[in-house]
Amino acid sequence: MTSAAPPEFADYVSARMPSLRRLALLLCQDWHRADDLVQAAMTRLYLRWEKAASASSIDAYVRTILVREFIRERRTNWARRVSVTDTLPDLPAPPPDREDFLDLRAAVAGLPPRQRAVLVLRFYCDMNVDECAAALGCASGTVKSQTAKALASLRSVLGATPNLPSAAGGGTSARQPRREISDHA
Amino acid sequence: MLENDLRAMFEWQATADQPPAQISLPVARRRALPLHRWRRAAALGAPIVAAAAAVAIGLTASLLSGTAATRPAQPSHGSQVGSSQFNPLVPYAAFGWLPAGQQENGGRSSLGVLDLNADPGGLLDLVVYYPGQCRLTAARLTCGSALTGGGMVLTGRAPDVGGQAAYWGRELPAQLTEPYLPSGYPKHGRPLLLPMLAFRDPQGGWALLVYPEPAIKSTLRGMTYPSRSAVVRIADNVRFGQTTPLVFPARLTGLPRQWRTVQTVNFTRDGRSLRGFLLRLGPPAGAYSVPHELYLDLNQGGGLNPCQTGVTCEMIDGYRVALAHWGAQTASGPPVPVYALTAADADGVLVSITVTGPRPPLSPAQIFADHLQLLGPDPANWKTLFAP
Repeated sequence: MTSAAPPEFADYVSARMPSLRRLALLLCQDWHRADDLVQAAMTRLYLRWEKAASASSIDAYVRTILVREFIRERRTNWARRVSVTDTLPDLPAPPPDREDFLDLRAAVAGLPPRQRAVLVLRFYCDMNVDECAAALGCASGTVKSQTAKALASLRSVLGATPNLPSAAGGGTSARQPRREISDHA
Repeated sequence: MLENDLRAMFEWQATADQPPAQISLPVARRRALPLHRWRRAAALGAPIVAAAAAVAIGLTASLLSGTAATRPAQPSHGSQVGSSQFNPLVPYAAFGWLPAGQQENGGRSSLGVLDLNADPGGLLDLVVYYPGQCRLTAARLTCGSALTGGGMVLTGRAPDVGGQAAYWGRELPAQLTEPYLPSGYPKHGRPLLLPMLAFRDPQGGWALLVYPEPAIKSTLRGMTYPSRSAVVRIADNVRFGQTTPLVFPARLTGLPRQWRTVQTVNFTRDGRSLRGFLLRLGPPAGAYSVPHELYLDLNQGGGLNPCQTGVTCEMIDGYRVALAHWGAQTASGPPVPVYALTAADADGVLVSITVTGPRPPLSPAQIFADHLQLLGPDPANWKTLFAP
């Protein structure tokens, strides 16, 4: 392996940076940590650029790096000890008719890392169970159970919030357009 | 339906304005090269990035609040301030010995805790708590606050370290947010709790040395695992009471008193120096009100151009800077204004300045123009953050 990635690495990173940061934000629920996560993922990607460039989908490969780095980093003592605050956000106000987003966001931020990652991959990236399992490096059954646990936790937390409509059982809704790692124009 | 609410909420978050990106490709390359050399030497598997090591990131306003208690400005030297806290600008401890293949890589320092990390892997982690922050019982050692604290369940007596009693243990189960089993780990439902060695520092505080063990090998292939005797040796050789201050590629001058107290600083080993690069200055976090906080990031320049669509860019003293401001959402009350400046390459230094709160005493642009002395990328010119 060479010690320097080709210029395509910088080109790819420049083009994908906004979407990577968006994904990292949803995982970390914090811009500070999101940039931290993207930086760490870029280091990994730099080391593995040759492999990434030959993958069937560089975006999927990079998304896997990002998600696994998120879960790995949250598991270490560093992440737990140096958490300076458990509140967060530097986010704009929600739409006027969706004040419930604040409660939902706070509830998602309170989920364990793997459950949070599963929700982001399934309901933002619109990945199916098998695709999630591949990204997370676990079995499909684990993705299903983590999804169910996450949704149950959210329902439990939000059940006391009067503004949020009560959730039906875990059926699927109409499939949304897939979100690849690409810059939304 | 909850799933639809999640989709809509994620979309709302994702489409919000992004603060300027601070991701640095040169830093990614710089951090990757030692890992690459280690991998080649060890002929082992997946790359490992030290999660606890320094990364170049921009600072956004995580609204740590607190009443505006004034504190005296911290001295440049001396690892302790007064008798109740560390001086984050002078890391209190350092590794004196590490197993072959490991090297100290930096860490993070705050008023009450110092965290040192060793590469590769980042799982060799030394946490030193200021005296009075830990409590030892027959069953466990608990340190710090319930939110950010650490500690361990005692599992046995270890050989003395520094002539004082030391203990083996494992992470407190309550600290884990979920049970985690790496792929390939025997699935018997137990969480993976990292092993630790707890020992005393000469001034009476506690230190926790976290080390990797073969149980995690399935996710960190190629990791080397120190023996218990090596762990004791690492602990026995920790040097406490260090007095070498961090150096920075820029110096702050003439700041208001409220911004001359450093709350936290990340630092990294840069050759023979310990270079600080990510700081939070201002009153301590506490009750949920909003003081003026200053976040400063100083790193290797040459990162991605922050002058993107929607970002105001201008020239200050011949340097191209990006300026941004936004309202940061709080749990209650109106959004809090945040003001940010980024210079991707100011004499070879990446500068990011973020100030929180309405009508701050100085804007990021004023700080950059009038209160920041750039020292360039040559370590020979780096200095302490404040003049003595």
